[in-house]
Amino acid sequence: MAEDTAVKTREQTGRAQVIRSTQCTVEVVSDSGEGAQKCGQTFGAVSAKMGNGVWTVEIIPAEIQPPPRSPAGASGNRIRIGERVVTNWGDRTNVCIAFNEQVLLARHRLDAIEDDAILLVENMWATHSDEDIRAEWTAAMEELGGAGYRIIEVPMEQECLTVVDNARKGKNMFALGILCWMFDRDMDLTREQIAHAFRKKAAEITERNHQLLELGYAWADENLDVRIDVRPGLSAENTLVMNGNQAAAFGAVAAGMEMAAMYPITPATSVSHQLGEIFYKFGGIVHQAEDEIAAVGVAIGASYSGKVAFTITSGPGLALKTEFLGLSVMAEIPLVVVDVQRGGPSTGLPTKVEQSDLLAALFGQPGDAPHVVMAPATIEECFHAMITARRIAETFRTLVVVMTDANLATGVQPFPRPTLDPAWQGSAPDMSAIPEGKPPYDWDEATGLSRRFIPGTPGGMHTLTGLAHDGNSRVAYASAINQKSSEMRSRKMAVLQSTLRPPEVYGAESGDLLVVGWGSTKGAIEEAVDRARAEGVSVSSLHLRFLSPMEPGLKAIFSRFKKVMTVEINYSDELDMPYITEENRRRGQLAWLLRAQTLVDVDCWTRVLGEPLRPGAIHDVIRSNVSKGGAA
Amino acid sequence: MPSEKKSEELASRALEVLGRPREEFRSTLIVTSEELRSLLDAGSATAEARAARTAAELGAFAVGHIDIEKFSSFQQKGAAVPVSEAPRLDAASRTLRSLLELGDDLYFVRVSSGGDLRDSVSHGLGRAGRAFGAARTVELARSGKYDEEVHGGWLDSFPPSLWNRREWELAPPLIVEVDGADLRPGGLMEFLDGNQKIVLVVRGPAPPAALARLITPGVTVLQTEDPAELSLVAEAEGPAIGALMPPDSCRFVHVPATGEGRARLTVHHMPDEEPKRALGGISVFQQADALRHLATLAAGWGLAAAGDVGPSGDGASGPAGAATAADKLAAWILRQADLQEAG
Repeated sequence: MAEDTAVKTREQTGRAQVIRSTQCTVEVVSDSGEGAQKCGQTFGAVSAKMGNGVWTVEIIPAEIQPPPRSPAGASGNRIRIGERVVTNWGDRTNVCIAFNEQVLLARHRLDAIEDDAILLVENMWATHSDEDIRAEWTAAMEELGGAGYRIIEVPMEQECLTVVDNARKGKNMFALGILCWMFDRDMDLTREQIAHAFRKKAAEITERNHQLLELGYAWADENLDVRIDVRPGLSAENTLVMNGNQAAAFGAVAAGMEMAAMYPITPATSVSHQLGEIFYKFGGIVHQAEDEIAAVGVAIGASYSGKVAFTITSGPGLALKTEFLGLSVMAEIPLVVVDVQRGGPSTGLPTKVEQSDLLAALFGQPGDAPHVVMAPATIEECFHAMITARRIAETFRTLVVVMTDANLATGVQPFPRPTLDPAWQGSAPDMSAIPEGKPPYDWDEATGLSRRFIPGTPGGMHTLTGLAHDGNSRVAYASAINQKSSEMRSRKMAVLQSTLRPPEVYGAESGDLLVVGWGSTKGAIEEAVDRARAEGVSVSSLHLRFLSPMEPGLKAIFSRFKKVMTVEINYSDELDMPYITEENRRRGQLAWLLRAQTLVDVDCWTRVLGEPLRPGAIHDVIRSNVSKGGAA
Repeated sequence: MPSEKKSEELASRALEVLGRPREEFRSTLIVTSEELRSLLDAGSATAEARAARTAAELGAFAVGHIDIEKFSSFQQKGAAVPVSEAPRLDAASRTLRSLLELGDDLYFVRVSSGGDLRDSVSHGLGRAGRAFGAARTVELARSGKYDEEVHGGWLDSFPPSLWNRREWELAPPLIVEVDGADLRPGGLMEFLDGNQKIVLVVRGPAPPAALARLITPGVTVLQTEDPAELSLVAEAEGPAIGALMPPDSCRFVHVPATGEGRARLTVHHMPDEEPKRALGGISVFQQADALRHLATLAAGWGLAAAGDVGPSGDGASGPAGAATAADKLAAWILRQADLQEAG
C-alpha cells in the first residue's frame, strides 16, 4: 500500500527540534555537473539500505550543459522516503538543498516546494564579485522569502575550500553530510555507499569525498536546529536498490537473453550500460549498431538464428524501427523490444517522462502487424517483465513491446531480491529433425501457432521472406494467401488473450468512479485513490499490464462503476477548451483504446508536464469528478 | 626457486585475472545444462508438470495476469526424445553437471615433474571439452544421427582436435603449473586457435625466452613476472598464451591487435646472463636460440618503447631510447652469431 500524506509530530531534543514524520520528500538541485544527482542517489540508496521506503526521481535538464545558474538548467534528484513502501515521487518537497538560488527559484516556480519547506541554499552568490549575480540573488531571495519557506543560508563554497581546491567538485558530498545529520543516516553505510560510487576512481578521491561528508555533517551539527525523523519501518535484508533500466537489464540476463542490439537514445541507453558491465559474464553480447534500424535488424537476425535477442529504444527510435518490427511479425520471428518512453514528437523532451508512444507501439507498423504490448508498472516489474516477454515472444513467435518510461527508467526503489530460477533461461529450442514435407509456417487452423524453424535444423531449409507468404514461406501471389496468413497472425493474439486473466480492481469492486492507468503511474494513482477513499469517496482503480491483446473482462468491470476515466501522462484536450467538442476531442491514448474496445464512454485526465504525475493532483481530479460527474 | 605455495598463489592470481573467459565458459556450461534438463523434463512431463514448468518460465510478472494452465497448453511440447536415446541424453546431462561440480578445478592442470606439457594441456582441454562433446551428443541423438562407434567416447574426453570453429570460440581458459625444466611450449601451438587462453605458471629455473617460439602473427604471447599483466591474455582478441616466469627471464609481450610490425612486440627485459646450463632436456643451445629468435623478431620489427634491450639491459623508453636499443640489439645479435668480424 502506498504511503499517504505525512503525519508529523514535533519534539525538542537538546538544541534541535525533531520533526517526526511518516514520510518526507527531499530535493538536491544544482547546475549540471555539480554532482547533485550523485548526492541524491547516495542519500536514496543509504535510506533504502537502512529500511526506509524510497522513490527517487532524477531532475534532468533537456540540454547536456545548460548555462550555469539558469532556472531551466536545474539538475538533481527528488528523493521521497517513508516509514513504509513508497510508490511514487509524491507531491511537493519538504526539504531542498540548492547550490545556487536560481535552481531553487526554478523549483519554486514549478510549484515543487511545500509551503512550510526547509530550504538550504549556498550563500556565496550574495557576496559575489559580479554585480549582476548579486542582484539576481537579492531578487530571488525576495521572491522566495515571500512564499513563507524557512530559508537557511549555507556557506558551502567557503567550507568545501577547506578540503578541496575546487569547491564545485565537493559541494555534493558536503550537502550529503548535511542530509545525513538532518535525517540521522547511518554514516558507516554512507561511507560505504560513497566508496562504491567512486569505486572506479583513485582511493584518494573516495577519501576526499569522505572528508567532505564529515565536514557537512559537522557543519550541520554546529549550525542547524532542526532534524527530521523518518523511521525505517521495512526490512532492508534481501532487497535490491536499483532503477528501472537496471532492473530491465538484470531481467534480460535472468531471462537468458543472449543479445542486446541497440543504438544510444535517452532515456533508454543506461540499460545497455548496465548490460555492458555484466552481460559478458553470462555469455551475452551488447551490440551497439550504427543506428536504430540496424539495431533491430541485428536483433531479428540473431533471433532468427535461434538466439534470444532484444533491442532497447525510446520513442524516436521506435519510429525508425517500424518496418523491421513489421518484419518480425510477418516472418514470425520472436523479438522483445523495450521502449523507454520520453516526451514529445520528434526528439521532443529527451530527459522527461511521457506515455505518448502507446498508440505508435500498437499501430505504428506498416500493414496489419498484430503483436503484444505490455507495460510493467513498477521498477520491480521491469525486472520480471523481461522474463515473461521472452516466453510470450517465443511461444507465440511474435513481437513483444515492453513499455516503460523515464519515470521508471531513472527512478530508484528498493524491492525484494528475486529468487533466481534456472527455468527463466528457457527450454532448449527444438532442433529435432523436421518431418519431410512439414512447411515452415504449418499454422494450426484454430490457433495460428506453428513450430519455429531454426537454421540448422535438419529438414528445415526454407527461404525466409518479409513479403506476404504461404505456409511454405513462398511469396503470396494468390489473393487468398494474404487473407489466410493475416488471419493466422491475428489469431495468435486472440489465443494469447484467452490466457489472460481479468485485471484486479484496487479498492471496491463497484462504485462511483474507476480510474484506469498503465505503466509508471500505478503508485501515484493508488495513493490518490487511498486518500480519496479515506475521505469517503467511492473510487477504485485498476492498472493494465497488457495493452495488446487487452486484458479480458473490462466491459464487465466498467459496468459496475458510474464513471470510468483513465489517468495518463500523454496529451488530451479538455472539453472547456476553445473549439473542443465531444466529437473532436483528442483523448488520452489508453482512453482511446478502451473506448474502442469496450464501447464504454471512458473519460480521461492527462498531463504532459515533463514530470511524473503527483498523487495530490490525481486526488483533486478524483474529487472533482465524483462530485460533478462520477455520481451522475 | 618459487615455493609450492608461491606457485599456488600465482595460479590463484591467474585464475582471478582470467575471470572473464572463465565466466563465459561457465555460463555456457550452465545454459547448456539447463537446456538439456528442460528437454529431458519436457519429454517425460505430465500436463501438471508442464504447467509448473511454464509457471516457472513465465516468472513473477505473469502471476495474476496469465492463466498458466491455458498458456501451457499452447506451448510447443518439443520433440519427444526417442526412448532409445534417453540414456544417452541422461549421460550427457550428468557429464555437464560433473563439469560444473568441478568448479575452478576445471581450469587447472598441473604437469608433474618430468611430464609432457603438451599432453597435459591436451588432457586439460579434452576434459573441459567434454561439455562440447555432451552438447554434440545431444544434438546427434535428437536428430537420430548418433553413432556409438564414432561418437562413443565424447563424454569421456573431447580433445581440441575434434573442436569446431564455434567451439574454439568458446574454448575454456586453462592455467597450467609446470616446472621450468619441462617448459617446451612448441607443442602448444596446435591449441592456440579460436579464443583459447592459456596461462603457464612456471616453477623453478626456466629457459629465459621459451615462449618466443610461439610468436606468430595471430597469437598474443606474454612473458612476465607480474600476474596483473595477464589481463593482456584475458582480454586478447583471439588466441593468447602467457607465462608467469621466474626472475630475470625475458619480459616481453606480443599483441597482434596493436597493428603491424613495430608496435606488436615490446621487449621489456632481456636476462643479465646468457644461458649456461641445460635445464632438464632443454639444452643451452635451445635456450639461447629462443633468445636469439626473440631478439631477431624484435630487431626485425623494431622496438616499441622497449628500453635498452639485450643482456644486462633494462632501461630507457621513447623513440630515442628505442633507436639506441635497436642498435644495441643488432650488435648483440651479431655477437651471438659470432659474425662481428665477418662484416
